[in-house]
Amino acid sequence: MSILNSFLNRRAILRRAGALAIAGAALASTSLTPATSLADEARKIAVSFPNASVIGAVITSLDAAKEKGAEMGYSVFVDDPGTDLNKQINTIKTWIQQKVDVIVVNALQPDAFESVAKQAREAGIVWITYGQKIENQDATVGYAQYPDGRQLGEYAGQWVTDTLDGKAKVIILGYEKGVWGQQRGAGIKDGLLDKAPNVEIVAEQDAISPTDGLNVTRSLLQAHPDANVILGVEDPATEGAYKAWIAAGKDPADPTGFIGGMDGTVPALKLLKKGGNVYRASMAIPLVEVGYAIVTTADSILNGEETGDVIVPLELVTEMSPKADEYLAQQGAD
Amino acid sequence: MATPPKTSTPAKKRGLPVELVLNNILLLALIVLIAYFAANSSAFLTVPNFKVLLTNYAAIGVVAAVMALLMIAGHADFSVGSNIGFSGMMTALAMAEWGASPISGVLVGILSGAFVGLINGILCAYLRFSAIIVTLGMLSVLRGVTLLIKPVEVVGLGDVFFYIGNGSFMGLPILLWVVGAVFLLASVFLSTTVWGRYVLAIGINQQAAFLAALPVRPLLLGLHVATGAAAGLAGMLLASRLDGASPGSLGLQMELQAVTIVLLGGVAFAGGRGRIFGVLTAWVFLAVLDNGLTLMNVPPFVQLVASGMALVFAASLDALGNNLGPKLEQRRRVQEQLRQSQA
Repeated sequence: MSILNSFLNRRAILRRAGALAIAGAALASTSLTPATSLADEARKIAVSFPNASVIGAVITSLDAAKEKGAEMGYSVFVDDPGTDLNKQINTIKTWIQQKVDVIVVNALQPDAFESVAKQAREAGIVWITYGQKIENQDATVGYAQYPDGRQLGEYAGQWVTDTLDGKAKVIILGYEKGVWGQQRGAGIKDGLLDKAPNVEIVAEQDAISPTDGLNVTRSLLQAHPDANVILGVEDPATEGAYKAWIAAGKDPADPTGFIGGMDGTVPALKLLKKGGNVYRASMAIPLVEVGYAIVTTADSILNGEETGDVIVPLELVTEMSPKADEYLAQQGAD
Repeated sequence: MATPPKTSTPAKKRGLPVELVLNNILLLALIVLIAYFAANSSAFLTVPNFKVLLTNYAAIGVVAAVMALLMIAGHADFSVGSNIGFSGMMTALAMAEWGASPISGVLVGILSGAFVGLINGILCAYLRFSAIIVTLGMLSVLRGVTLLIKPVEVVGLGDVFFYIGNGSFMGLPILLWVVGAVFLLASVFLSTTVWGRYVLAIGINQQAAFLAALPVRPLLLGLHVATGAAAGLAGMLLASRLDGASPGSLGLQMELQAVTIVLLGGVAFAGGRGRIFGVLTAWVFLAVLDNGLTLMNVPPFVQLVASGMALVFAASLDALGNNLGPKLEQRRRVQEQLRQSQA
């Protein structure tokens, strides 16, 4: 104990910590400096994207935007405010003050951005809304949440009609806290009921992470052990649901089971590529295409063109589809 | 030396054992909650469902049981959420990319978490930095480091490892054995060892404990390491349940869940007061609440309101118990003295 105490003597540690802090600061000033900064000469596209640093698919998409930007003479910056709306707006206001050329925003609550978008446009900055539409904008880039959700719902509904004579017990894993989640969820339900009006939706719960998907589905399978269709607005949640399916003792290759999600994440695509299991569909985001579209749309608007909205539709990837390989390759996971 | 005062035989109590109820007010609330859900969902009050609801909360239970000890000692660790993500990711990488065996994967997870706890402990116990500030900083640092190490999910950790998170031993899920063992160890440590009494003493008055030659700094360091190791174990358990790890979402906001369980369990935020049984009750309470609302298919927005109200209700009952308990005790003593003076 005395050895430990002498080693962990407060003064000695503080001396070492001081030296480390100085060394760390020096290291940070060299190695942590971003490749581009607001002082660069290149024209600037600033992207505000909640959770951009934690969703693999988004990282891939924004890396493509950076790559395309560099090719076309733009610096593309990405800020991740997490889910902190106030932080997101503060950062955007800083960008307005810095007079960046283009601001691209993924708005979880679109209406909250009307006034800041108006300020940006009054300052001569191009405003692009990602995946949503607001009044004060130059264009929308991204995808149409409701139609994409509807496509998944229709595919599942058609499968239920063809395979199970239109009868199934359905669990929907949505995300009511975000407008995008509400739109996707509504699309899924409408599409499903359109193709299979006799299905019974036994539960609708929020889940967007694998842990949420696992926990919620495990509970729901207690109440509805015969639920055989699980649809989600996010693949990570349905990946968790797939694990819950297995943990509940259900056959992972059950011919009467159907799990489908959205976004085309690596684990979901791997299950689809493998085939022979209940994970039967995912609406995959054409990640690179969306990333490129951010930059090309910004460039067109800066050059005075009226682009209108640039919608990149999600693509339905089903079991054993060669598309799974293509999207896995995009994410460096082939 | 003064002779101890004579104690009279306690008066025969009538009616409900009020003090017993007050000391276990959260347990009473839990019973009411269970009765409510049992009446509203036929799937709720079954053995398989209880296994599910407890395994859903097993990982956070492991963290809460150990973090309770740290908080009783007057410190806190807000980095556990990111530590769970970091440790889970290290476990997944060890197994999927470095070819480690399941046992090695388990060790990597626990040791990763313990290492983070060691850093927290050195900064908080020996350098006397604010535990809240340090661990909140570590919360961000760890999430960033995890994403820098591997920004995408790692999946496919093997059947043996998957069994840890999803299999059973002697009819009980392995996760329940683990969380039960951790709660038991924490309880035994706090209740029956001299170190447990030191923890309470440090929490009541750290300066006085230091002057009384108690091993304040080594014990706080040990508690930080133990909390880190518990977060590592929780990360490993979650990775085994999911057969993979996601750097962005694994353990996200679990620090708030853990703190909620500990505080709801009656541990004073300033330290010096708390029982592991209370924390265990709070853990089951939250697991039951979450599961019951899901089984009843309560809409998400209503669930948020219901969860918040249930927590506030439980906390208010707890506060009521804390306020009424001493008053009732005081009244009992006064009546005792009156009886003695009349005798």
